[in-house]
Amino acid sequence: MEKNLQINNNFDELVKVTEFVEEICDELNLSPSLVMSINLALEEAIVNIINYAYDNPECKGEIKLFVGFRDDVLTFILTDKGVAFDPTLVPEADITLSAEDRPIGGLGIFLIRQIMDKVSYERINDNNILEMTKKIVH
Amino acid sequence: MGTTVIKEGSATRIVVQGRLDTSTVKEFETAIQPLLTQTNPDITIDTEKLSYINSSGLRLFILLLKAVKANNGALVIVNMNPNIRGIFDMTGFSNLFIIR
Repeated sequence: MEKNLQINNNFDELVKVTEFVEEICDELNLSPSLVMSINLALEEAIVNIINYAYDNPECKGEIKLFVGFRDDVLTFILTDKGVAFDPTLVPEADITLSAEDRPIGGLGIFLIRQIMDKVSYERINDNNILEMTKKIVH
Repeated sequence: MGTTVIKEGSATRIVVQGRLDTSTVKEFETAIQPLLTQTNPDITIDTEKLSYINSSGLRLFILLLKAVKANNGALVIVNMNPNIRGIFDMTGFSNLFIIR
């Protein structure tokens, strides 16, 4: 299975991603909690692209999402043409800290890493390419 | 998405409903703003109808918790569904918040 979606760098477009992913997950009979986790990881990744890769909200930019399913592995590839932004370089959040010591942000990439099995980034021909994979255990 | 703030004597009950994500987080932020500076706040957040939360929503939960602790108050989260609980577990929030 291979499917593609293209959206603009606008938070209102996230609902399209949610619907697109829910449809795919339905076809694969995934549990509602797994569907929510996958949507959460994708939303965090796309929010990062909108905020950091397309850091000027006045400029229109496109974000492409590829979803593939093969050999029990779901692959998500997000491609954008914004400025270079590698979310995998963001330091790991320390979730053992007390409430007083915990920073209020930085959980986005942490959630992506927790939910997905593998997260990798490449910069190719002025594109940011973020690949995330998740093995589906039936 | 909807946030309702109910005053119950000196205590405050916040009912959050629907999706707390990037596009709806502003409403929650505005609702909790007056509580951040309250002395000895006594806050209950009812999450029974909260269906989804992302990092921008989690950010406000921790912001509120920090303020409550700094102001010698109490913050309790009630009626959390398993999906939201899963996200709280994943991020270590379950260890920071009192969840009943």
